[in-house]
Amino acid sequence: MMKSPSGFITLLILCGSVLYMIYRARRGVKPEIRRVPGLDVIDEAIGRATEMGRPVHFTKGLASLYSSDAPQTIAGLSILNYVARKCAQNGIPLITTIYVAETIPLVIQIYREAAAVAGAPEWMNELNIRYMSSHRFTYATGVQGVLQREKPAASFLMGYFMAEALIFAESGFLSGAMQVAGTASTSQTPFFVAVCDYTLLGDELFAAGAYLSGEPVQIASIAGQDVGKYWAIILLAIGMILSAMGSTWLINLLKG
Amino acid sequence: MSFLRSREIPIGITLIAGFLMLLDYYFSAEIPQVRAISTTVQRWAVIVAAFALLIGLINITRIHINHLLKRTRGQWIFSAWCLIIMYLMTIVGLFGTVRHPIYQWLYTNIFLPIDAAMYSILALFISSAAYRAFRARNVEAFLMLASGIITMMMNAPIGEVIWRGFPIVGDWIMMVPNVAAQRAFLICVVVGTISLGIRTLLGMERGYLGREE
Repeated sequence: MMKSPSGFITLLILCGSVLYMIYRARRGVKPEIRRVPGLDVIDEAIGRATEMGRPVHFTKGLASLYSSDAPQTIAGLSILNYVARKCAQNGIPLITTIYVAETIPLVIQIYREAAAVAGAPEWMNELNIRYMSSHRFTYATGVQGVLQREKPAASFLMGYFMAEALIFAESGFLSGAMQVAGTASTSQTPFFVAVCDYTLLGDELFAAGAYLSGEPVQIASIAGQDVGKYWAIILLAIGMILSAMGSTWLINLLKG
Repeated sequence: MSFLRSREIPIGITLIAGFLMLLDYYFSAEIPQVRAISTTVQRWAVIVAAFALLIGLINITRIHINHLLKRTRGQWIFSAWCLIIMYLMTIVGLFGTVRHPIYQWLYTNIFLPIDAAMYSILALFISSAAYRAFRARNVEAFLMLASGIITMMMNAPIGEVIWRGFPIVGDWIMMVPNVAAQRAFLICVVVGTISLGIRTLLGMERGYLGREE
């Protein structure tokens, strides 16, 4: 017996809607999505750092590339790709602090490509790619040290975070950095909202790579995920009505 | 060499590994061989990650030796300390195992107190963050402040003494608006994750590989 048929059907609906939107975009239908202030402000934050002549700091959180939170790391790396290109174009240092050692080669590759695209090979400095530790509070101490000593003008916190999220955000605030954060961790989002200048909420983090690319086909995939939200709203509405009538049919169906 | 550097290889590996995990999750009962292959691939991932720690060790060494050579003001002394402790623990751990008395002493008397101190800093940061967040500058901040006070009073023993309604209202805030908002957030996260997964499997999301989108 197949595991979770209802989950599989939901997955197929989502895949279908995303692929359909991509197909439409390839045929020339321009998708329309809402603006995401937390992503629009990235250029402003880097511009601020350029004007102040101070570095930019980036962390992509704690998740590895093979854990259930890996999508947050993938999303964080996609944002890092954009930030690195902008920093390389403007010629300002980008300090990336790393918790998961297996992402070091990916970050190095992102830096190399950014330097090559900007035509500034001298921008590539591996000393700005800093692995701190794979122990959470040791990593937090290292990041705090970078924020306090090197006083970046902008700090990006994008990925999966746990209790140390507030240490990063408060240290960044105290060092005077403009902070943009994004996480899918429900327990840490309130801290980011309270402390950071801009926060990506929920699925905004995952949409970042496609959104920042500005490519219609990629943006179409974001429009496709809205269909998934409509599907969830329909199920919620039906579930509420059935629950009010005392029926557990939908709950049993979705549990299956 | 140009073939090895082509972008199709990492995208192809991602595609195969991704579909393998999907097959394992949904169809492992129908196709039992998939479970065995999936478990092996996951083991590979753990082994590769373990080797990556060596890259981390080299990275830390390079950065701190650079500080030592340049005598970076306010930093080089800490770099020296970091390298001494890191290599001392590595050598003792490798040759004497982590149960060795020296390793245990270093861990219990240096690492654990510093770790606990870092964790306790959170209490101060929560206070300063709460002070800024809870200033009632607008309606939303006022609602957050009121909810915060009520839930705090619900958890504090004195709350019920002041007003019996605190536990009832606090419980309602936690169970109704809080759970509703968290579920909405989670639904958006799941939808976003699936969408990112589709883009990654199709090779459209390439930013994490440092490629042009």
